[in-house]
Amino acid sequence: MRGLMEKYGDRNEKTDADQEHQEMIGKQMRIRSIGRREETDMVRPISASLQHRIDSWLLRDYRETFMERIELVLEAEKLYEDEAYSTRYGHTLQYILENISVVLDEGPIAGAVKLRIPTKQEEEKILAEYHRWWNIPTQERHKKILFYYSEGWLKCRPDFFPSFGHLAMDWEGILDLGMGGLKKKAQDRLKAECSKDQEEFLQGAVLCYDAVSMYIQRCSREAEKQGRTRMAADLQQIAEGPAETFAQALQLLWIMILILQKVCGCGVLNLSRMDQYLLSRYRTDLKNGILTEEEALELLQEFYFHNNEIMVQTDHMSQEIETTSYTLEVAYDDPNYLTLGGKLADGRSGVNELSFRMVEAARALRLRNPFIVVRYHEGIDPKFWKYCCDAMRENTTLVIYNDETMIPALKYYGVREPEVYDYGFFGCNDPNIPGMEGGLRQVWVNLLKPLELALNQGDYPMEPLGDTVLEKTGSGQPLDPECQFDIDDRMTGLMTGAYYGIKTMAPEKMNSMEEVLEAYSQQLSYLMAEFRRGFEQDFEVEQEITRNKIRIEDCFLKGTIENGVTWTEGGTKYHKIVTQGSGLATAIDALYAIEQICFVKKEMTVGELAQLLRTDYAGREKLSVQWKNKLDKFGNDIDGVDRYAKIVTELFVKATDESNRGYLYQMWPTYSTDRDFTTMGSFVGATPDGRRAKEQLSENQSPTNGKDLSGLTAMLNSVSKIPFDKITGGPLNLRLHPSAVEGGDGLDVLCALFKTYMEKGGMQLQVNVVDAQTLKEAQKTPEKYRTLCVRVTGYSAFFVEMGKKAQNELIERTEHLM
Amino acid sequence: MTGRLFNVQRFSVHDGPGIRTTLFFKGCNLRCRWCHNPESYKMEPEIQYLREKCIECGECRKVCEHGIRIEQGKRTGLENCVLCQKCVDACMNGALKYAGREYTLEELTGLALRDRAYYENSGGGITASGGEPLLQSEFVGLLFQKMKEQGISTALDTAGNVEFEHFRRVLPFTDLVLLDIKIMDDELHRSYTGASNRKILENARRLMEMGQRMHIRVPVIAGVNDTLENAWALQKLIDGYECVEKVRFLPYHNMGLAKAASVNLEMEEFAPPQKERLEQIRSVFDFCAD
Repeated sequence: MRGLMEKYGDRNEKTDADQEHQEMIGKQMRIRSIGRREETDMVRPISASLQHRIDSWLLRDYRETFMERIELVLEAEKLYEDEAYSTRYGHTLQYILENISVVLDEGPIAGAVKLRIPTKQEEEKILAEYHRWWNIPTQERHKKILFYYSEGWLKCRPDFFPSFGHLAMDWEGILDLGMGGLKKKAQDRLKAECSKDQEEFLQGAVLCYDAVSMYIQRCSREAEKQGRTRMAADLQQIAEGPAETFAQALQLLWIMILILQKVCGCGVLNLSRMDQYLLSRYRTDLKNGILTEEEALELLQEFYFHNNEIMVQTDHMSQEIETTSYTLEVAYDDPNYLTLGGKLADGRSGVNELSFRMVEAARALRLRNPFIVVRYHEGIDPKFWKYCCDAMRENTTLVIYNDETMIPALKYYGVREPEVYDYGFFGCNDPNIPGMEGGLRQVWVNLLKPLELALNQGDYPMEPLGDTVLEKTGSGQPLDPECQFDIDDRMTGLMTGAYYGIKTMAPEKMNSMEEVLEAYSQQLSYLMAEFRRGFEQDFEVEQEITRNKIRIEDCFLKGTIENGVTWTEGGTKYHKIVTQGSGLATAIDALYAIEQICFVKKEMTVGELAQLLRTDYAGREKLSVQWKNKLDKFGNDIDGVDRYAKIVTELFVKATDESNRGYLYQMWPTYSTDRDFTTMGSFVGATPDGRRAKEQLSENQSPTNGKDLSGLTAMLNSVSKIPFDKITGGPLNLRLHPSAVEGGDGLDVLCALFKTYMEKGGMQLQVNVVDAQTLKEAQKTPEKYRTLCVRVTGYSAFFVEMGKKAQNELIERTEHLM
Repeated sequence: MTGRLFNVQRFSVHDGPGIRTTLFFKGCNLRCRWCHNPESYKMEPEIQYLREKCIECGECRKVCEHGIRIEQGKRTGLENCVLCQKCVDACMNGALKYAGREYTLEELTGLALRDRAYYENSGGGITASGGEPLLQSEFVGLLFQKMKEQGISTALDTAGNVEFEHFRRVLPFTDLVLLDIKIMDDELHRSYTGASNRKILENARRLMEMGQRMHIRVPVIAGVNDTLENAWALQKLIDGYECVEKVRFLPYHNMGLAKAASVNLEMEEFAPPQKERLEQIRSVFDFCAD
C-alpha cells in the first residue's frame, strides 16, 4: 500500500504509530478473512496516512471556512460589474482560481482548499453581504432564481455567481476531451451562426475552461516545487488535455468537483456511472503495468475521502442545530452521488471488476460520501450482490435501486434509449439522466391535501373560508388569480399554509368509495394543475431573466454549448420537475378507513365522518385512538388495505400525465418526503385513519410509524404492491436489528430478502443495521460513536452530528427483529 | 380440522435456515422454569394481559360481563373469564391479546404462501414451533403435507417429550427437525422441566438412527446446564450421527418473564452463561456449533 504514496511523493516519514496501525489492520484483515469463502469478499484496509487524515478531519471545527472564496467573490463583485453577465461570470471564476491558495494535500490526489475560522467581525460582515444579496422581496428573488429549496442554499451564493448544483455533468466528455477539447468545441460553436446572446454565453464558457486550466497549471507547478514529479506531470497533462490514465481521470474529476462545489456552489453532484466511464483506463493501466489493483483501490479511497473532506461536519436537514445554522460555506453539506452496476444499453450487465473495487473502497473507508447507488437488475452477479449486501450490513453509505422498475418508469416519462440506461440519482433520491439535464426543480405533493379537500368540497378545515370558497370554485373561477401555490411555496417546493381546492361532490352525498375517490382524484389533479400554472409563469420569467446568463454547469452539460443555450432556458435534452408524492401510507390508511367506517361497517356516513374530522375528533377522541389502533394499516400484507397503494398511485400518475401534456418541463413522480413529513403533516387536519390534526405524515415509502407489525416480509410485500413502474425514485428506509442479520447465515438471509423484494417489483432499499439501544447510547456519549453513519433520507449522516429531532425519528422507526 | 396457535411470526431467521414463517402452537407438556414462551403452557386459549401497554383506561371493565378488573397493573377475577374476547376488542392499546386462536389448514397455508419467494431465495420455509407442536401432531402432519405439496420446506421445532407415533405422523413431510435437548441428567431434567428426559433421548436416538436431518438446540442457563459434563454427555449422544447437522447453544434471556406475567404466572429469573463458558461448551463440538 505504500507504493503509491512513494510514487506520488508522500512527504511523511513512517512513524511508530504507522507501524502499529499497519499491524493492527493486518490483524483485522486476517480476522475478517477467516471463514470468508471468496476472494471477492475481501475488504482491504485504508493506508495509515489516510487514517491519520481522517482522524484529524473528524475533529475539525465546524467553523473552519474556505474564507478565501468568500473574500474573493466579494472583491470580484466590484471588479467586473460593468461587463456582460457571462463574461463577468467567467472573470469572477478566473479571479478566484487565480488567487486562492494552492493546497495539494498529502495524498496522491491533489486538490484541497485552505480553511480558517473567521473572526466575529468577519462573520458579521459576511452575513451582511448575504442579506444585501438575498434579503429582498420574494418577487425580486424570484427574478434571480426559479427554485431554491431553502434559505440556507441562497445565502452563500451571490446572484452574479449562482449555481445550485443537483445535477450530473458529462463526466465522460470532460475526461475524454479535457479543458482544451471543451474549449475548442465552444470556439467552433462560436464560429457557426450565433446571436449576440449566444456569443456572450459562449465567450463566458471559454473563460471558464481557461480558468480551470489555469488552476490545474498552478497545482502542477506547486507539485513540481514540492518535488512530486509524477503528480506534476499528471496535472500538466490534464490542465488542457484529456485524462489518459486512471489516476489522471480521478485527479481531473476531483479538481472539477473541488471547483464546482467549493468555488461555484454547484454541489450535490451525480458522478454517475464511474465503474463504466473509468473502466477502460483501469483495464489498460493494469495491463500496461502502470497501475496495480491495490493502487487503484487506494486512489479510490483517497478520492472518496476528498468528497468528505470538503464538507462541514453537520447535517443540512437539521436546520435547528448550531453547526448547520452557523455555516458560511457555499456547499457545506452537499453530498455527491455515484452509480454502480445496472444494465447497459446493449442488455449486458454493467457489473465489472471496478464495481467491486469501488464498493470495497467505501467499505474500508466507512464515511458518509459519496453516496453510492447500486443498480439491481435481473441476473446481477450474485457475488456482487452479496458484496453489496454485506456492505449495507456494515452500514456503508450504499443503497439499492431496481432497474426493472426504474427503466420502464423513466421511459414512461419520455426518457429515450440509450441514455435511459445511464440513469442515476442526486440528493435526495432524485432521478437524473447524466449530462442531459440542468439543476433541480422540485415540488412535494402532499397526498393528504386532496383528501382533505375532497371531504370539504375544496375548503380547508383548519382555516375554512366557508361559502367564499364554494362560491368561487362553484363558478369555475380560479381561487387565486395567480396560483394556489404562493410564490414562496413554489420557490421552496413545499406546500405550506392553507390550500383550497375546487368544488366537488358534497360528502353528504357520497354513497360509495368510487365517489370518494373521484373527488380525491379531482382535487389532486386540480392541485397539480395549479402548481403547473405557477411553474409556467415562473419559468417564463426565468427564461427571460436568465437568457445567455451562464452558470458553471452550462460548460459541462450536453447540449448547452452545442445549442449555445443555457440549461435554464432549455439547452439540454431533458427537463424535469421532481414531483414527490408525500404521505403515501397515511393516504392509503385514510382511504381504507373511509371504506371500512362508511361502507363496510357503516358506522357513519361520509358526511358525518367529514364533520367529525373538521372538529379534530372533538369530544370523540377515543374514536381516533380506536381507528388508529384497530383499523388495519398499510404495511401488513393485507390486500384489502394495500390495494389503495395502487389506486393512489394511479391517480397520482393520472394527475401527473394531465399536467405534463404539452410542456417542456415534465413532472417525474417519486414517493419521497425527505425529512419534511412533520412539516407537511402540520398543515393537514385530522384524517380518518385516526391521525389527529397536525400530526406527522408517514415517512417516504414507509408504512405509518409503528403500524407495520406483521414482520419484515409482510411489510415489503405491501410496499412492493405500489406500481413502481411509473414512479421514478424515493427511498424505503429499513432499520434492522443487528441480530437479525449476523454471521454468514445472516448475510445470506439479507441477500435473499433484498433480492426477493427487487424481484417482487420493489424500487429502492436503504438500510440501517443498528438497534435502538445503540442509537440511544450514541446520543448520550457521542464521542464514542463519531463515525456511526446512518441513512437519513437521500443521504447519509453521522448520527452524532444530526439534530435531536432527526435522531429521535430514526430511533422511532420500526425495528425489524427476526 | 383446526390448529391452535398463539402466534405466527413472519421473517423468522433463527428457527431453521433462511427466511421462515414460524407457527407457534399452543400447549406444552414440559414446564421449563426458564421458558421464553410461557403463554404456550396451557392448551386452552387464554387472554394475555400485557401490562406495559396498558393505560388503565377502563374500557375493558365496561364491556366485561364477568366482573374482571384491571387495577394497578393487575387483573382480578380471571377465574370467571369465559373467553368472550369483548375486552380484547375494547382495548385500544393492544394490552389484551387472545392467545390460542384456531386456524384452519387453508388459512395457515395461505399465510405461509405469501412469503414463498423469500423462502425460495433464502432456503427457508415454515417452522412449526410452540409450545409443543407434536401435541397437535395430526394437524401439523396435514399442514406439512400441504406445504410439501406446494414445494415448501418444513421444519419441526420440538422438545420431543411425546410418544414416537406423534413424530411418525409428521416426519414423512418434515425436512428438518429442530430438537431441544435441555439437560442430559435425568434428575436435573425432572427438577427443572417437570418431566423425565427418557422419552426425549429415546426419540433423539430413533431419529438419528433413521438418519433424520436434525439440529439440536440447547438453551443454556447459568448454574443449570452450563456445564461441560452436560456438553460431553450430549456430544456422546450424537457422536457419529452425520444427520445431526448443527448443535446450537442459545443463551438464556429473560423475555419470558413479562409473558409469564401476562398469563398470571410467576416465574423466577435465571442468568445467561458466562461468555467464556459458552465458548468452552461450543468447543466440545467439533462441527457447526453456534
